[in-house]
Amino acid sequence: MGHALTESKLREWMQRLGPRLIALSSGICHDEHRAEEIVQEAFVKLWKRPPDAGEVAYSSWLRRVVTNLSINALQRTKRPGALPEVSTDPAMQSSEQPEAGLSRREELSLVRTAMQRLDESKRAILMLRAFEGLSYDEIAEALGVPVGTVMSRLNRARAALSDAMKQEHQQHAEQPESYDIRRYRQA
Amino acid sequence: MTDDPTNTTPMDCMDIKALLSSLLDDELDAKSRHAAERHIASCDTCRALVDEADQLDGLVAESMAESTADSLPEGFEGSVLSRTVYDTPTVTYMHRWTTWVGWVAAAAALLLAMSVWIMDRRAGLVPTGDDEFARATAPAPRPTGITSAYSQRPLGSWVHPGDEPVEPANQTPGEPSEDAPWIAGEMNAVPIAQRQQTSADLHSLMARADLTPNDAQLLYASSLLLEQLAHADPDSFADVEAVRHIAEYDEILPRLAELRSRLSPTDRSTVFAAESILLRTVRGPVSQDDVQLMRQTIAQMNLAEKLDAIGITPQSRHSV
Repeated sequence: MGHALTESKLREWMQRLGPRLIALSSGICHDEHRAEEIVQEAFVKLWKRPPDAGEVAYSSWLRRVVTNLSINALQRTKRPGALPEVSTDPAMQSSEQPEAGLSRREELSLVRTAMQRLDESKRAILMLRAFEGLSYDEIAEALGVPVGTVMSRLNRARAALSDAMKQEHQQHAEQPESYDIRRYRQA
Repeated sequence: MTDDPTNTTPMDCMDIKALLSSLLDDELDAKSRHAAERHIASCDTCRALVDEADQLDGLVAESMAESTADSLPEGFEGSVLSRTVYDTPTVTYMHRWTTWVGWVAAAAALLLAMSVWIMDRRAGLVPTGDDEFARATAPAPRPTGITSAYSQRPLGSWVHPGDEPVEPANQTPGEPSEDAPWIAGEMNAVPIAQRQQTSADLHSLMARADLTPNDAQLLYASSLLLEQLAHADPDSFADVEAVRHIAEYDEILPRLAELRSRLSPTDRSTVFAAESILLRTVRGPVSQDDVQLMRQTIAQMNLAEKLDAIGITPQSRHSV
């Protein structure tokens, strides 16, 4: 059993890490309410069985628990009708360059949609790297896999995201633009 | 061979693709990084690949940052604290203890209630004085008219108010005549007003001041048995069997007989009618036609209405 946690410490950790962990979980399982439950569960686990290494390990420990719970939650409740996975068929992959001239907001919207096309493990590893800024060792610890596996998984995840973005750009380009957007672009 | 990082095997596009993440995330060793950078400097495709991956990382980070709230959702902290800080072992033990005590108390209350009920039942059959004891333990006067009713007399003749049970005419008890069912005759032999009067009589019985709570309970129980017979399935006899079992187990018939002996002539006939039906059920045999006639008779006597009246009457509000 690790060091005992006090109420004030627990509150402090919840305030400090809670919102970010909820965002991480929500990004993986695409369910804000479920994400809140998962992060609550993680803090309850922290209270009942804190890691032996003490406070220095709380952050990575919580991240690991939240990531695993989120991936497991999504795997248990795979919803039909979700966005289709990114095709790995080379014939289906677009070689066109991304559509130029999209605003940052539009790009952000497209990347969120593209992320939904990835499976939960790819989403998780991308968020741990890009959003949480974890090192390969930290990602390996969070996912419970060897470091070499982290590198290969990240490679595949980034390739899948790139393909998904190209498909999103293609679909976006095929949609008729509204008069307002066209007018702004001409400006 | 030297450790000079610049002295490396050149990389190609396939190598860059394979090492893209490590390159992007600064996870390559010095030698590999140098080789990769040399290739990228001379390859537009690989440079675009690295730039795109870097841009996507930025987009992911920014989109996640946008989704991150500034504070915890409402109720989040409270929910966690209620399951952690405020969920102490003593509270759990107290809950377990109170739950255990609650169960023991409930069991004790149930045993007490059952004991009181059993004692009440027995008290109803155990008189306080010798005379009452003699009367209660004397063989119950047999409703002798029943055997005749089984074989010869129509229903109307022995439920008529004022009639006393008559002696049987060479009839073996319990054996109905083959010539006529035990409740013979059409129900038209009993005027409707008279049948309704039977219902009213029973109602008046319940309200009699000299009736004890046990008497009321007995009458209520008997009416429930008649109610079950009134809805008996002629094809299965399950209801007949159930009524038979209960009437025998609870000694309904001798108790009704004892009660009848303390009643006025009008009330006596009503109880006698109920006894007749129950005795036939207990003694048997009961044919399908018998069941049909039972149902008709009980319905014509408005037993459901009597039960409603029983429920309203305060002194008769007992559960069987």
